[in-house]
Amino acid sequence: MLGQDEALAAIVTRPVMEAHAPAIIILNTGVAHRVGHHRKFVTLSRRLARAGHTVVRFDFPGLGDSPAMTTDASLLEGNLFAIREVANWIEQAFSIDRIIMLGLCSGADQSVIYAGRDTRVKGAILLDPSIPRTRRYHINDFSRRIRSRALWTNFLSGKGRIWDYTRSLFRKDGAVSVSSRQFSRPNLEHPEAISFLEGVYQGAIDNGVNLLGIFTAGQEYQHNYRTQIVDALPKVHFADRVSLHFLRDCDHTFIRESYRNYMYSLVADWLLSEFPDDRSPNHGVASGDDIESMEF
Amino acid sequence: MIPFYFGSRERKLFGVFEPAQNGGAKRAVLLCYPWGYEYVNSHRSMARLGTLLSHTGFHTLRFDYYGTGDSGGEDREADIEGSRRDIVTAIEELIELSGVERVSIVGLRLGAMLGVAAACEKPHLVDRIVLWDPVVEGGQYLQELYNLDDSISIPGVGPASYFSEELGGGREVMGLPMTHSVAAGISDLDLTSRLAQLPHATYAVATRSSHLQRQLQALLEQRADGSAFERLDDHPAWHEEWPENAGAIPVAVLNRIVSWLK
Repeated sequence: MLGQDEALAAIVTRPVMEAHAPAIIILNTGVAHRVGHHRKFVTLSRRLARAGHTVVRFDFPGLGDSPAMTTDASLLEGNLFAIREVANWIEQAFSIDRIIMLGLCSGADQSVIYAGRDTRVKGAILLDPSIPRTRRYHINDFSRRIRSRALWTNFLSGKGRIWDYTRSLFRKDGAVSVSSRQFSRPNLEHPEAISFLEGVYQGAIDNGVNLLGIFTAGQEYQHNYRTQIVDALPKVHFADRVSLHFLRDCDHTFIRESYRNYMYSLVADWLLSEFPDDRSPNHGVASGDDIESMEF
Repeated sequence: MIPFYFGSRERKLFGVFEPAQNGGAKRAVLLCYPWGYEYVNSHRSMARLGTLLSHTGFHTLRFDYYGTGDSGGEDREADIEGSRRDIVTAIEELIELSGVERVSIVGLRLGAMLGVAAACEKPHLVDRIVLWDPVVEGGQYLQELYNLDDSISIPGVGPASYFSEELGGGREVMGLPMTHSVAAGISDLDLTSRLAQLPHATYAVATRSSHLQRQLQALLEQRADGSAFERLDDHPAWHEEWPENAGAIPVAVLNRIVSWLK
């Protein structure tokens, strides 16, 4: 267990031979524990360790194997504090003072927020971070829907949102029925949300952080093209600090092995291009004897 | 809470041991996770159950089978017979850690079936068994997994890949490889026939009903050793209907398991 209260459950995977490549901290996705859906963060950690990186996967307080903490801080501030404790521990234990953050969904959002607050962070790998929808998003979405067989099937059979809305106009109370599949999410298109996100991303860039953004089709209700983040946050000077990918045939959790392997290769290639002088002599070796895992 | 690795150098297993609190210490419980996608979904509930049991006075150990979770091994190195042996290793580890002579087993889904299989090998090391939403018949469970994967309707998700023999054969199921070896191992499992061999008091709790569970209920209700079957209306910890029950913990089930073990 890491942290000043030894309350953060963590697994460290690292090369057996001494390595000086930036350490990588992987954050929880939602409430899933540090292993990640389909065990992808375990596999990714082992691959990155073979490439010379020390990788720490840990559970935020109250998730996975980390007990909840009693604190007055907000959930976000508590989690950012936990990340700082892990970064401090990495620096003390391994003398590595360069950090790369990695996370999916909420983990991506917290990664980029933290990236602007710690000068040790040199990179952030963001898988499906939350970004506002744009005019081009809506055009793409409309175009996709109009070509969808399901839309026309529903329309002709009297099902779907269009008919729900139409029926509500003739109902006495005017209430629109809510599908059980709908769920609440923050309104990222609100000017305050956009301003907040612009501050977060500009803060990371100003801190010298390079960004890898990988977006999947699994979040089609939020993003649907590669450069959406640039259009959505116009005040951020991304310049050449961001590398973007949109995976059209991939879901949000990378359920298929081929999707995961492609994501792993994008991450590895980006690390190689951004940190070319930090390769381990073991880079590319696929046996299990060149890395070790330790629990904390 | 003590996270640690145990087992052999070739077969490192990740476990979390929670010592008994509040003056307990005479009994110990081993928690056996489900397999595949059900493992990630249920981790939160299993961790909570471990803590509840610890606070109630039980030493508890939960661990990841080889090739799963934080344990050693790659996804394709996981296999059913190996997981059963891992449970036997974990029973012995828990006995050594806690100083008790026998342990209780709580198994969820396939973990229930594997727990019973392990208890058949070491019946003298086990005192009570809890079957939580147990898989009753391996062959039917396998078909349910295939059907579930084939019915995925998520943007971006294509059909499952089938693997070459060099990769163990078989196909993907809900994000993990279902190799020929694993599929054959699951198909061979049958809970009721194994359970009939065991003399231990057994409690089964189900959040969903099925005709196979009714067979299990009939078997347990024949016994005069305190065995019981109960149907509780609560979330299935192992299956996520996102976003409806994401992260939800079946509190009624956990409390009932703890009270039965007490």
